Amino acid sequence: MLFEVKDVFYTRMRGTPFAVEALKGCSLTIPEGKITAIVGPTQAGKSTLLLTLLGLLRPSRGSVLFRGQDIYQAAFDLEALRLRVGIVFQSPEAQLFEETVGKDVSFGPRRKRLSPAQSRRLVQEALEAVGLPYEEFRTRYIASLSGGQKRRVAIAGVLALEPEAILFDEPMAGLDPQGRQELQALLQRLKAQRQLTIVLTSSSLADVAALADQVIVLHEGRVALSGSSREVLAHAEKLLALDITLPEMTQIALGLRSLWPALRCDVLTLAELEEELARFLPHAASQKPQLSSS
Amino acid sequence: MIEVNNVTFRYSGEAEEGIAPALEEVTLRIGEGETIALIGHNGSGKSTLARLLAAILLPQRGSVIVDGLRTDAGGESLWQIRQSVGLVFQNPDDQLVANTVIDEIAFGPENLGLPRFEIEERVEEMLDLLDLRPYARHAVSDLSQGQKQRLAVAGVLAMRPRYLILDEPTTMIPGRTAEQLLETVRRLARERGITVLHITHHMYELVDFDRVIVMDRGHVLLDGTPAHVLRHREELERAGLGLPLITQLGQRLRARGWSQLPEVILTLDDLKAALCSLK
Repeated sequence: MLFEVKDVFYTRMRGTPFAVEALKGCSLTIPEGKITAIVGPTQAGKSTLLLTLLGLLRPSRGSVLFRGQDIYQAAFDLEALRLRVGIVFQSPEAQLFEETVGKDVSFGPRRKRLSPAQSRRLVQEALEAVGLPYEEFRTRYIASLSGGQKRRVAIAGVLALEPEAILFDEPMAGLDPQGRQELQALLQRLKAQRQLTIVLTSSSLADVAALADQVIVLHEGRVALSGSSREVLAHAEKLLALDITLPEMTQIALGLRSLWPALRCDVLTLAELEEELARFLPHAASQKPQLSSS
Repeated sequence: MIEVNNVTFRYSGEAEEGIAPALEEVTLRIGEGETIALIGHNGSGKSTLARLLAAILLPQRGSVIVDGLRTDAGGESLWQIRQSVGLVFQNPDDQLVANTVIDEIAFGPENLGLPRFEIEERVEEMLDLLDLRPYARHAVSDLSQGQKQRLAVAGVLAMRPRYLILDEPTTMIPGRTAEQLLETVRRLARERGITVLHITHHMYELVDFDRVIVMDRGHVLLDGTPAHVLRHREELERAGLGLPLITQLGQRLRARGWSQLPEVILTLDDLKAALCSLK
């Protein structure tokens, strides 16, 4: 296990009239080399959870273990943890501060006092990994990039530190459907090629169902459900009650349950939904025998 | 009515880099009380069009005429146009200026120089219309994204615009909150005859609008009812837009032999009715 979160509590603005219990006995594990999606409505505690993983917010109770070691023990080296585990905040395009792409991405390597040649190699690899060719983008002004490109520059900035894991806070928010698909493909690639552990938060299962190896549903600071996308989607009605956006496919299946209450709604692709429906529909006069593979 | 006549718009510097204009020779009519979904890929020109309609950008060729007033006439016309065309941005944080919810709604009417009782009346009305009453005295910074987006709409509607333009208001907020917001806006449009132009890249959102305009690379690709537009699968795909899943599902079942199903299914209710007729 990369991370183990054990019975963590956290109160925001503690000691003021505005105090809110963001995490209330949250326990979960994050396996290495997998994509874990933390899903929940706003205020479920998703961002707070990410910050406690990196030692950026100290829980009021409970513990966070990184490879078995309690990160809030005095002897634990938080600096070293933050070099191994990167974070991409929400709307990361807002956190780019250098003038050009090359300068921004090389900020981390330069701070690590690497040689210019090493730094250059890391920047080049990081930019290529996010699909921004180095020679073309190195000298481009950040201000001239699109929102999706800026987001990728921010991710490259974290990759250039060669982390073992990256935490992404709402990485899909504000992207159009194509931008979402590109980002999903990028995350899959990072996992496959760099064996990166990826943790991402989202208020929508639609954005992560096809991507995540493990889904953890948070509600009011606790884990409400967890499992594979399919296992979690089987509880579609419960998810809807928690105000979680479901994949369109699941929404359609759920809507058709008023006609066929036994219809499965843990379908991930259109082909699966078509198959499932075909089981219930009367045979069509003109139906051709094969086609089920489409 | 808003008339867009042969409008071409290019952002500065784009000509030198050889980039095509953001909008090229676009002609459109937007009638009173229509609810329109404007859909297109990133870079299709939809946000540019919205800014031209609201007179935030001015066309370099052609003209935009709002209720008889040219947006590039300046002076008094510009004031009138800005009052009749309200624009809600994608990110409410780009739009909200005041500290509290009440102050934010009052900001527009105050700047119109309205009398105090009139301002108060409009604030009260908007608190109810957009479900903001529980947060009336809250700080804007304490609101969720969805609440902020409702507040942005309230602030614009408090100016009583005739045209409401929503520039991708649903990208930053979760699904169900987004649906509720769109429902409220459509209801207002019906009740008060406000013309709504909703910019989106979600195909599933367009089925509830009277008219759909599809933009592609600076041009209007398709314009018509949702059912009309969705019949042009190939054009949509070339513009980087797929059919809504529900429509695709209907077509897959049709291809599989249930040929009585209609070619274009728009909503879950349509699908249910169609499937029931097979039973």
